[in-house]
Amino acid sequence: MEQVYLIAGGAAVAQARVDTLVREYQTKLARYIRRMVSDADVALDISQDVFLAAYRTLQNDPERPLTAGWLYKTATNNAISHLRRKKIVRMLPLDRDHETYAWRIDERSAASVDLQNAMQKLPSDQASAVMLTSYAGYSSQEAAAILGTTADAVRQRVCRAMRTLRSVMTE
Amino acid sequence: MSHNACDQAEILAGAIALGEASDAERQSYRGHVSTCAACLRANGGEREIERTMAQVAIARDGETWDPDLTALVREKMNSKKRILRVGISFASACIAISFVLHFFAVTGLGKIAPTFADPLVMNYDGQRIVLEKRSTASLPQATSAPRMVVEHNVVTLTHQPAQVASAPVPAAHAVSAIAKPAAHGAVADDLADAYTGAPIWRRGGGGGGGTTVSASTTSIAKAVPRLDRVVPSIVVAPAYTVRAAEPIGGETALVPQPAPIAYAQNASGTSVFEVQIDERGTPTKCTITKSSGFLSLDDAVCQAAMKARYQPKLVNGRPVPGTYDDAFTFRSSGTGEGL
Repeated sequence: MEQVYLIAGGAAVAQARVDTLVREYQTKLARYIRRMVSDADVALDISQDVFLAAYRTLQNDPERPLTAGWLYKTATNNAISHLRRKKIVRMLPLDRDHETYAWRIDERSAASVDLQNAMQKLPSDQASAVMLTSYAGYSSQEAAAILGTTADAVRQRVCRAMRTLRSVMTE
Repeated sequence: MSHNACDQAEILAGAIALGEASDAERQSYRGHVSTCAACLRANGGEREIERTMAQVAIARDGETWDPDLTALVREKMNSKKRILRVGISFASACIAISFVLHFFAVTGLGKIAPTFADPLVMNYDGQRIVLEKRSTASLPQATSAPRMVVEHNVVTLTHQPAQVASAPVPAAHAVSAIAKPAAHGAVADDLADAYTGAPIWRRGGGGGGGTTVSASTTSIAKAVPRLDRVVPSIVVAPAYTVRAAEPIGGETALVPQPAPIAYAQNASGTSVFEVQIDERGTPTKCTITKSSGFLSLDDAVCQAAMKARYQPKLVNGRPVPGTYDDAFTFRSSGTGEGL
């Protein structure tokens, strides 16, 4: 995966740098997050939060080179945090509208629908491993660096996730 | 088949799925699943793995969702800047307002500070202290110039307490402001004697007695003929680096309200008191340095002194703890008898 290093020119150009990041990664990042959380609106919110976090980081340290991996790492952490909160909300008996958290996607492709159905059944660690590798295009080494684990662990997670994907998508 | 071998097979299957497996790794995976039916059933063969991952690639490539976050993110970045700017402006305004309020609290709201260009002269003949105010130009002819002699804080008890406590009239305010730095620590006892003389103006009266200001430059000079013999004058603090503590609003801000028993007793006399004031202008202790002979009058004086707010003593503009001395003379007209 190509690493994009953005050379900071100062705090004044933080906004311009974030604009560049948004233009380049907004689609990939939003789709990645949507697959993780199964909700387009939530994916948009988390994507905005990621770019605003990048903006705050550049404001504090204009010299810091921000990579695409940094964006995916932040997005993964935010998505996992959202999934944990959603899990807690679903456990609450008073939550009658938990169906609103159901997957909302406007894709017409059958493969996309199948993939999303399978993704909803995956634990967050397996989902993030699959999405970062087969979806975002990172190698197991790069995905391991983003997730803070080893390459073998990423491969193992992909293998276990693949069992669920196969049962939903190919049968 | 050992557990470790199956775990290793999962890693190899993952490598195959990601297209990262070498030929040796693929061969190793084939060798394992040929002997481990459980792994073959769970993970599938190489072709199944690759077909599954191809489905994922198809799903990925077929996506059409293309959100545009540029405007949203830019708006949020600007709103954060705006919040920061508003916060800084609000904090600056709060600091400025607090400085202004602090300034007014120290100097006294609406109170005009005495002009130091007009020195005050204190004459002391061993029995009484007289303060006079004159302009700088007339300073060399101090003894021959017309003088305004003030004996202040004469309270005549002619009515019931509620009337006695009426607010001082502006005229009395003006006279008192001129004569303000009257009594001072060490001369408190002597000052008390000064109050036994005839009152030049009175306050707190009303009704039959009313509030009368009979002070005038000539009549006051006649009222105290002994002043002509008092020479030389003592000029107090010509540099004015020290400014004494004083009540905010002038001495008329102190309004003693004697208890009804004072009227019943036809109480009269002069209460000389001393108030200790800290650097914030708060009275901390009141002492009657010369009693009027009536506890009710002394109590009323001290209560009034402790209720008032003060401008602290200033030394070179810096507030320091200090004292404020003053006296109240109570006279009873006798009409309150039988209360």
